[in-house]
Order: sequence, then C-alpha cells, then structure tokens
Amino acid sequence: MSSEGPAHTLPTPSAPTVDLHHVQLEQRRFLTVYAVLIFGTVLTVAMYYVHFEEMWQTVAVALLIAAVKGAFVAAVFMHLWHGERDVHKILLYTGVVVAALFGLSIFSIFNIPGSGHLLR
Amino acid sequence: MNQAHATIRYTTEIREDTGLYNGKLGMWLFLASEVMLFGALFSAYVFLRLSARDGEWPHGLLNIPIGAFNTLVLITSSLTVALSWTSLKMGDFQRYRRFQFVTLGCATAFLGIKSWEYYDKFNHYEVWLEKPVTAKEHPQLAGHSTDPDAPIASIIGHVEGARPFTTLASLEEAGATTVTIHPDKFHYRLSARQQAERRKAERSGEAETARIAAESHEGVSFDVSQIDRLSAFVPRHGTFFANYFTLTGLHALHVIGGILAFAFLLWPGARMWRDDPERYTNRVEVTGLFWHFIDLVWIFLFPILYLL
Amino acid sequence: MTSDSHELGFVRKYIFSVDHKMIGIQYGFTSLTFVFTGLILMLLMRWQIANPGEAVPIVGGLLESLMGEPASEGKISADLYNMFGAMHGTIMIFLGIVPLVFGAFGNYLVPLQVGAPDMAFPKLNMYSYWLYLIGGLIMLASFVVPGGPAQAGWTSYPPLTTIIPTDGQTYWILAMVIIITSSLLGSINIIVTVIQLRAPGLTWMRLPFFVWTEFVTAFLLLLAFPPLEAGSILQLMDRLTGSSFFMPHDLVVSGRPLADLSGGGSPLLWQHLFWFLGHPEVYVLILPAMGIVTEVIANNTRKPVWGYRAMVGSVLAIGFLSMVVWAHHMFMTGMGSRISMFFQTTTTIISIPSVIVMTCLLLSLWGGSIRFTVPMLFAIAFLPMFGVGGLTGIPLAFNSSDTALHDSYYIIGHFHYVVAPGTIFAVFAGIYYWFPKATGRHMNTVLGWVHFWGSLVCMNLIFFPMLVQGLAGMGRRMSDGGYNYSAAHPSNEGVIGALSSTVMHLNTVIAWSVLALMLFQLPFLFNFFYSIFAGRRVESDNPWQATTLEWQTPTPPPHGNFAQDVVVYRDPYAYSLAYALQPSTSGATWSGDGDGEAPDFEAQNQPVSGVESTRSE
Repeated sequence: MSSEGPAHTLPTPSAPTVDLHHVQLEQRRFLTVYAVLIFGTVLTVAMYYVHFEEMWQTVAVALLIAAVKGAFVAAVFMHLWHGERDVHKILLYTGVVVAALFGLSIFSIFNIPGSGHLLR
Repeated sequence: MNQAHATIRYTTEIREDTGLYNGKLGMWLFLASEVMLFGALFSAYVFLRLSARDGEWPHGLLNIPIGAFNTLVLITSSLTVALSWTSLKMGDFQRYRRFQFVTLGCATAFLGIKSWEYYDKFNHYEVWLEKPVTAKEHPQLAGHSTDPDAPIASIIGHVEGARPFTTLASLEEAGATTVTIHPDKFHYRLSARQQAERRKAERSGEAETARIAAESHEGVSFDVSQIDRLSAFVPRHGTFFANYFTLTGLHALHVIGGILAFAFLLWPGARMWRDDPERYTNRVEVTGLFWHFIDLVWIFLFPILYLL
Repeated sequence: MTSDSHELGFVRKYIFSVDHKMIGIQYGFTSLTFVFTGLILMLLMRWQIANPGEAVPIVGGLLESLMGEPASEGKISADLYNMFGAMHGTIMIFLGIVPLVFGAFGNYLVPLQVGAPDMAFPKLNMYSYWLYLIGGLIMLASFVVPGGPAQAGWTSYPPLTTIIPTDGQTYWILAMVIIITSSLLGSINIIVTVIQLRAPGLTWMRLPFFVWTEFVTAFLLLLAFPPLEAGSILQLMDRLTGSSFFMPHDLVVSGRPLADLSGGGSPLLWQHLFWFLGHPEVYVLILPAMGIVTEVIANNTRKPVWGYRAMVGSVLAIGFLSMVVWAHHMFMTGMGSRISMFFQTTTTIISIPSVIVMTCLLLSLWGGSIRFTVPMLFAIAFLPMFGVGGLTGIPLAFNSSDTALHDSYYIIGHFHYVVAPGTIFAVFAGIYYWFPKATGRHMNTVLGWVHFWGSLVCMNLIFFPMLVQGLAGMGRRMSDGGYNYSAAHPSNEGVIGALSSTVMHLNTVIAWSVLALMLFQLPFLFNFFYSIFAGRRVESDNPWQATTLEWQTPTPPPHGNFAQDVVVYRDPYAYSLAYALQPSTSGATWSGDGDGEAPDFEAQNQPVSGVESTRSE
C-alpha cells in the first residue's frame, strides 16, 4: 500500500507520547461533532413534518443530512480526518466497489418493461 | 502461551511506513467488509423498493419520535466511547470506566427501546380482503380512506385473539369462523400529507377524529371466507417489514457484539491496563472504531427505514 | 525464538495450533479431503450419465442405505443427481479449492515469503480454520438429514431454493455463512501480514509474485464475500420467517399459487448478490494458481520472470475488474439489455490483463535452461490448459453467443478447464515444489511422472468432449445425460436435431476417463504419504536453489520461522544474472541438490556486494 520505505533499516517503534493539550483539543472536537449530530437528527425529523412536494425530494434531503452526519462521525470519531494513507486507500477502494454493486444492480432493473420506475 | 505473539512486530507499536499497528489495520479491513455487507443489504432494499408495485410500500408505520430518540441514544454512546478513549490517553482509568458505563447503559437502552418497537409491530396486523369494502359499508374504517366510497382492499389494526405469527391458516385450524379487527386511525396507503393531517386533527381534538376513534374501538368483523390473507407486521407481511427486521436485526446483533466487547475490556480484559497500558488503549480505540461504525450504520438506517 | 515448539504439547502443536504453518497444513489436509469427496460425487454422477437407468455397481446398495428414497434400487434418481450436482459444486469450490489455494498455500507461504515470524493475528488464524471445518462438517451433515442435502445447484437460485421443503438448503445457507466468516478472518490476516509484517527492505516491487496474487485474492474475498453473506441472510429469512425477498408476486408452483406469501421480491436480486461473489470467486480460484506457477517457472527456468511489473499491474487490474463483470453470468435472466452490454464490455476488457499474465509466463520460458522437474511439468501444463479454459470463455462473454451456449455442456467444459487442469494442476505443482520445505523430504519423481501424464491425458479426455457435446446442443444438468433427447432413445427415431449417438457415446468416454483419473491419483496419494515418512531426505535447506525467503529458513521451518532477523536486498527472482555467473559454470546444467557448483542465483536476503553496484535496480 504505502510507498517504498527505507530499504535497509529496521523501523524503530515510536515512543509513547501523551500530549495533554492535543488530547483536550480532541475532546473539544468530539463534543462539537456531538452537537452537530444532534442538530442533524432534529433537522431530519423536522424535515419529515415539513413535507416536500415530491417523495424523491424528501429522500434526497434525508440522505444528504445522513451523509453529512456520517461524514462527521467517520472524520472525527473514527479519526479519518487525520487518518493513515493506507486506510484511506482501502476505504476509497471499498467505496468504489460498493458503489459498483449498488449502481449496477439497481441499473439492471431499469430497461425492463414495467419495473424500475422512480419513487412513487 | 504467548510465545507466538511475542515475536510478532507492530502489535502495539506503529510501523513507520504505514503509521499503523496491526489491530487498527485489521479492524479497518473488517469494517471495509462490513461496509460491503450493509452496502449489499441497502442495495437490496433500494432494489426491492424500486421494483415495488404502486401504493404497495407502507409509509408511516414506524414510530418516528421513538426512532429519533434511539438515534440520540446511540450518538450519545458514540460520544462517550470517544471520550473514554481520550481518558485513557490521559491515563485516567476511572474516568474511562465512568464513560464506558454510560456507553453500556446507552447501548442497553437502545436494545430495550428496539425490542419494545418490535413488540409493538408484532401485535399490529394487516388483513387483506378477498373483495374490497368501503368506509360507507363499515364506518369503523373511516380512518382508512378520505373518500367514503373509495375501495379499501386491506385493513390494518389489532386482530382479536391473534398472536404475532398467526396466519389465516392457523386461525382456521383453531376453528375460527370470523375475524374481528380494531382498525387503526389511518392506513399506510394514505399519502404522507394525508397521514400528517390526520395526526394534526387528532392532536387538536377535532370531532371527526374522535368519532373515528370511538367507532374503530367497536371492531369490524369478517367471515374467514372474505379474507385473502392476514399477517402481523413481521417479515412475512411484505418486503418493507422483511427489510426492516433484517436490517435492524442485523444492526442489533452488532450492538450486542459491541456490548460484549466493551464489557470484556471493562472487566476481564482490564488487567492489561496494568501490564501494557498502551496496548489496552489501542484495544479500546479499535473497539471504538467498531462502535462508531455501528452508529454510522444507524445514522443511515434511521431516515431510510423510518422516513421514506 | 526457534526453540519454542518443543514446549507445546501434542494438542497445542497439532490440533489447536496457532502456528501458520501447522494451520496451513491443517487447511491442506482438510481441503484435499473435500476435493476427493467432490471427485467421488463426480464419479458417481458421470457413471449414471453414461448408463442411464442402471443401478450403480458395487456402491449402489450403500447409496440406497445412506440416501434412502432418492437412491432406490441403487440408482441415482433425478433428485439425487441434483443433490450430487449441487454438492459437487459447493464442496469443490467453497470447501475444496479456495481453502486449498488460499487457506493452505496462503497460510503456509505468505508469512515465510514476506519474512515474517507468523501471521499478524495467529489466534484469529486458528479460529478461521476451525470455523471452516465446522462449516464444512455442517455441509457434509446435510447429506444425512431427512430429504437429503441442497439440490438447487451450487448457485442456489430462488425461488426454487425457497420452496424446497426439506432442510438441506437451510444447512447449506448456515454452512455458507460460517465459511464466509472463516474466509473473512483469513483474508484480513493475509492483508495485515503483507502490509505490516514485510521484512525490512522487502518493498512492494520485491514481493514474490505469489504474495501479490494472495494479497489481491484476500481483497477479493474481503469485499466480494459479504454481499453473498447478505444474500444468504436474506434467503435464510425467506426460508425461516416466510418473507419474500426473492419471491415474486403471484408465484405459481405446480399449477397452484403459493399460499400466504406476500410476494414483491425478486429472484434477480439473489443472482446479483450471488454472482457479485461468484465472479470474483473465479479469480480467487485462479490468481493464487498463477502465483504458484510463477514461482515454479521462475525457479525451474533459472531466470527472472519476464515482465514482473506488468504481471503485478495485471493482477491488480484483474482484482478491480473482476468486481464489475459479475452479471455476464446473468445474460439469460432477462435483466435489462443495456446493462448486459456494460457487462459484456467489462468482461472482454478483463481478458486483457489475464492474457498479459499468461504471455509473461510463456515468454519466461524463452531462453531458459528449463529443468523438467515434476512441479515444472505441472506448471508448464497449466499454461495451455488454462489457455483453453480462457479462450473458450470468449464466446461466453458476448450476450448473443452466450444465449446459445450458456445452459449447455460447453460452459461446463469451459470452467472446468480453468479450474481442474488449471488450478488443480497448479496446486499439484505447488505441493511437489514446497513438499521438501515442509517435510525435509523429496517426493518420488517416477511416481510424479505417472501422476502427471495420467492426469493430463485424463483431464483432457474428460473436459474436451464436453465442449463438443455442448456445441452439439446437449443441455447441462440432465441426470440422464441427454438420453431422452437423443437419437438413441426409441421415441426420437428420425427426429431431426436429436443428439446423435456419437455425441451420446462421449458420455461413456468421459465416465471411463473419470475412473482413470481417479486411479491416477493413487500414485500421488501413495507418494505423498510414503514420502512424508520415507522419502529421500533433502541435502540442504534450499534443494531447488530458489531465491525467495521461504527457502532461507531451516527445514522444516521452526516456530517463528527464521533463525535470525531477515533483511531483504534484492528482487524476487535473481536467477542467472550475468554478474553472478562464474565463467566456468555459465553453461552448467542443474544436477540435483546444489552439490558443490557455484550457485546461479542470489537469495533475496543475500547482501549486495561491491561487484553488483553497477547494476541498476
């Protein structure tokens, strides 16, 4: 995954370091994200009572809010924002594969007569 | 016992060129496969949703306030997991324990609320009729349609004497000749807007809704020969509930797995904190990753199942 | 580090072992047992096809007492044929070949080849094996449940699978879920081992090709298996709770509508979830085989493989493309024609990297001083055999020609050419090649020759006629081998288009060839077990004079593998490079266990000397 490391040296284990300031910063970040998530949940429910004209509009907005919430959880709670490159690559690849599964299997019902209409 | 482990590098320390220890990479790979698992189930859900016939997909049968509350419970547990990890980073084991107690409390509450929801669904029925009836013929069904002359093909409500997995065949076997239903105040075939108006009218105590409530209490009876099929809100009911129970059930299994892992770390596994605090902190981090993933899945499950 | 092994008791060392080599060997024995089980099912089916309506000789009575009604009078009824067909496919693929190439070879070799003391998670590795065994035993147990095992093919298409009233299918699903979990643990372990535990200096472009193939295979298993797990869960729901994930509206079975079924599901959905695994699974079967063949060919041609980087690139390309070709198995399902066009395109594209790998291997032979050892014979035979398998696949990639060929024997011939004389030959090559490292003894060469030539001839006598039969229009999955549709059947006299008796006669040829193939495995089995205890001892730790790290360990490798820390300085296949050859030995031929000649290779962990510094890396 990663690029070619130093060829002939044994990597040394990194010494455990506890940067108190860093940890406290991290905690504040967690609390901020918590607030964002609560706000997102309230917004999702509120949106349901507002009612858009079309079904697909409700779906789109609900999924958008969920995506934003999910992105915050992944980026901050799961440390992906400062994550390792290899993890990013694996997840990116997984994302492409799951998108292929989703997109292609859904697409396969579309030009069959009588199926694959949009949400009604 | 740990001879095999002793020789393996990067169990705790970080490999320089990847920036990872083994457990973290392993957990991320596991989560990648979990993404595929839930991704496939989501795909299946959308696939079936898109190929559903007109008006067949139920709307508004799930309890949104409860679902939203459960979302908050799970998000809170995610926060306490994150904070418990930072506590360990600061070397404060007691603070870690307190946060993890909250986590376990939230997780158990989540499962409790979920099982209450399941129970509620198991006791709700839909009865499909051989021939449609109208609200004019049966005033108890006033809530099922806005137009008294419109045909009503199925009735939802409570069925007298039925248990969660009762079918028409099992009722007949038990010797029943008629089926009495106490209809709900509205049917899922009403549009989302109509359902919302119903709810609003109900809250404002309008006379019409009071009448519907009073009459539906009476119950409406049908001969078994008039009934095509009946099912509680269980997977047998239709593809919506099949998806609902499969997705939330699998999610609940993950929650149980997370509870077991955290409980292990909190009690029998806590000895490691004395021997190898860094490795212990890593374990909490890795288990935390799994927990946040469960939270992430729920964040998507909630709008997809409850709101669509 | 090396003296740990004697401290462990028998149970910890041989049964609940956490050592990757022991687990690899456990995987090997278990999966070979399953392969032979599948082979026996195949023999029974082929015999019945060649002799429709006759009782099975010798074992007929045993079959009847074991399977009851479906085997009445010792005949293989259509039902029993379906059960055997489903279980032959399931056992061979999920319990035989995949655990063999991934579990056995991957476990044994990957840590050794990357210079690691063990897998990254040894205990997880042990759980992986035990889950596999439990899943396999559940699958076997389904043979004796009332009504027999699964009978809807290894693909388990609903709605057929859902309406079968017997429990065999439920066992099948449960076993699959457990096996999937097992391979999930295994693939995580392999990936983490390769990424994290590579020895210092072992950069990505210095990895032996086998490690690359296992690495890509692990990703295929990791990402392609969960959708099948999802599908299995849904099918389990359909069978146990009466849901309708795969049951369409208004389904009528035997003239009656199914009662109390909501409908609204889609059989097409299962096929998507199944083939999303099913196609990458094909590459799970073939990629490690390519890796094994590459190791053997490089070693026995005494030169670096040709186009190493192109091969690595191709394997990565296959790894990705195999995820987006799955629906070419579904051209016949009536899914949209536009999506068929997409999959037809990707399918033809994926043949390009496959051909690149095969071309590189073929060109690697060019100009090599080839040693025709037994593993090398199998490795060389792999090339044309896999070639036939691959080329016969091209007509199947196209929507139009696939429609004619898909449900015929042609497709059986096609994929068996890929897996049987392809992958299984590579497995044999690997067994003969690494046997001296694992046991410290050689396998017998003469018996190896008998095994090789016998298998090669029989394999072709079995599978080539199938291509012919398929083109002649013989349908697959017929328990009578097409007898009722043939000119041989009295009621078809004068019917134009009935299968000719020549085509029918090939069934007899195939049946005898299967029997001969099984007999030719006896020298192998004897050789294998005899050589473990009494084979010729190896004279050195590196009898084949190989470069990769697994040969630089003591023989057999002890717990912890390497006697000292490993540092890698070289590319994987540093054979016969000009600076290394002494003038006197440059034309020398190989003559056994490296007896005194100057070596024509440098091991990967051999430090770079001053002479070589002019070489560009």
